[in-house]
Amino acid sequence: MSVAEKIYNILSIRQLLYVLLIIMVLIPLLHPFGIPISISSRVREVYKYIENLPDNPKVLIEIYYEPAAATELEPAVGAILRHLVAKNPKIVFVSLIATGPIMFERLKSYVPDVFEKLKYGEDYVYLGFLTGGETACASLARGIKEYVVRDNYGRPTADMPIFKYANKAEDFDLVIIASSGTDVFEWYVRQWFTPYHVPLLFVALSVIAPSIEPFVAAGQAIGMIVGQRGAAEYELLIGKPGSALAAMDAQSFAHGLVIAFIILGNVFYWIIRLQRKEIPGR
Amino acid sequence: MVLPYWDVFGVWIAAAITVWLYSFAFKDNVLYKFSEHLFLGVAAGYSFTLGLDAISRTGIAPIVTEGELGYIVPIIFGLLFFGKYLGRYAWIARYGSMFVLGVGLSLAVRTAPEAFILKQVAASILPLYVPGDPVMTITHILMVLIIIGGLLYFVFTFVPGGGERRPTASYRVYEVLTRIGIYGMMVGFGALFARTVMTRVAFFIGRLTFLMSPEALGATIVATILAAIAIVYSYTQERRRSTAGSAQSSGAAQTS
Repeated sequence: MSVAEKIYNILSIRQLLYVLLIIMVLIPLLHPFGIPISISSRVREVYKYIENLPDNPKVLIEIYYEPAAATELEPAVGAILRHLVAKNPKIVFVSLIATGPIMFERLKSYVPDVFEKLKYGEDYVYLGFLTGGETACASLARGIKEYVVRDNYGRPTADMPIFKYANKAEDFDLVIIASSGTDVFEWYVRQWFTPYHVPLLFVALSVIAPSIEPFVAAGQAIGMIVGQRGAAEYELLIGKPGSALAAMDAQSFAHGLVIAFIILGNVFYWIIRLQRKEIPGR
Repeated sequence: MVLPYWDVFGVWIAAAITVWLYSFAFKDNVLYKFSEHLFLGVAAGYSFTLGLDAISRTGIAPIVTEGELGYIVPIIFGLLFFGKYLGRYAWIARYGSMFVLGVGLSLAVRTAPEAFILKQVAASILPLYVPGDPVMTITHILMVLIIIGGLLYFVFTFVPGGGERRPTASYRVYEVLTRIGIYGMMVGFGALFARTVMTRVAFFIGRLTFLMSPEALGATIVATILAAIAIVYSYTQERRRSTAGSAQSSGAAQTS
């Protein structure tokens, strides 16, 4: 066995990659380096859109993710909320996924400064988890308080002042969908944008972005904030660094490791093939 | 901030379960199995409870508080789903699914052609020359070529030049376009893979940040030691099994 083959075999041990990954993520978390990041035009456009919203904007926020995805989505939703709260918004939170209520409570503790400024029932409300998927999404567009008689905490929605301003799809200035799946984006495009032309903003996992990119390109959404990186850029724009910005060094280190492994794997693969006189492509 | 005892216990459990689930990356072990089953059980129970709560708030509450008797109809259709446990009357479950499928399909189909076909096609009709912006010009040309090439690659019923694929001019154009389509798809898959790595790393950073938090650190260390013991035990068990297996097979060979 040649030296190249031995190295290739060592590199193929997956446990080695995992150990190195743990080390590469731990180092910048324990000792942040503050590697500078640039702000993409896409995130800047979203920022400008929210900046140009009228005072007291009516916003619906769909919380559609699980605890695992919170690392990527929560910082983005938190940063947007911090930006929105300066405009005295009316916000209706809703979840079409069962983990939504846990995630909403987490969000409240992630940005307590935002919720301290908002009064429940008047400035914001959480409808809780609604079953029915796309059917529920369509029903919300027709009239929220008629469809959801009691909110997540069992309080009657009929008496809540917020629904005087934000009840039907036509009332809303923006719908923000924070999701770890693809389906819910499609539901809102079909049930809120196409019939009522309500502007949509996508907050998505990095892995989801290529799937929803066509909606943004076709103008069916005003833009999207993608993953931890997008959230970090938004945090920079609003001047309030959060957990996403803190994680950027770890992201860079981990990506560097994966790139190094891809390059090394390919180099040794070709060396071995050339040593064995295997001509590629034949 | 001092957490209540119950919350501290919850943080410890979360830390231990996180470490034990990640231990699968090194070797399948008993603590991983325990965590996996615990997670599935809790998730199923939680979803069931929240489902009942949602039905109560959006289905039963309007009947009780508002006297909206119309809500009884969908509740009956929902209950019909349980018909599949009634043996010879299992067919009544079909009425429930018929209702759900019918409503869902009609809601989706109502706007799907505009949202998913017309808008997307319109968005792909791009100007091939953008004055004063060479980058956008190249981007648009590439996009149009990749869309045409990608679509052509999946057209299996018609190949220019016939079944023998004669090297005619039209076949050469077809070949070039499909190649562009393939390369476009490869670039797309590459981007998808890169973004998958990004998401998984972000998840990992989130969990590691949690595990290193002062409330969870003690539990993390204890759970890691336990996971290491479980992994070593799993390796020794595997080795013992393989030794016993090889001894059995050599014994069988000698007998024969």
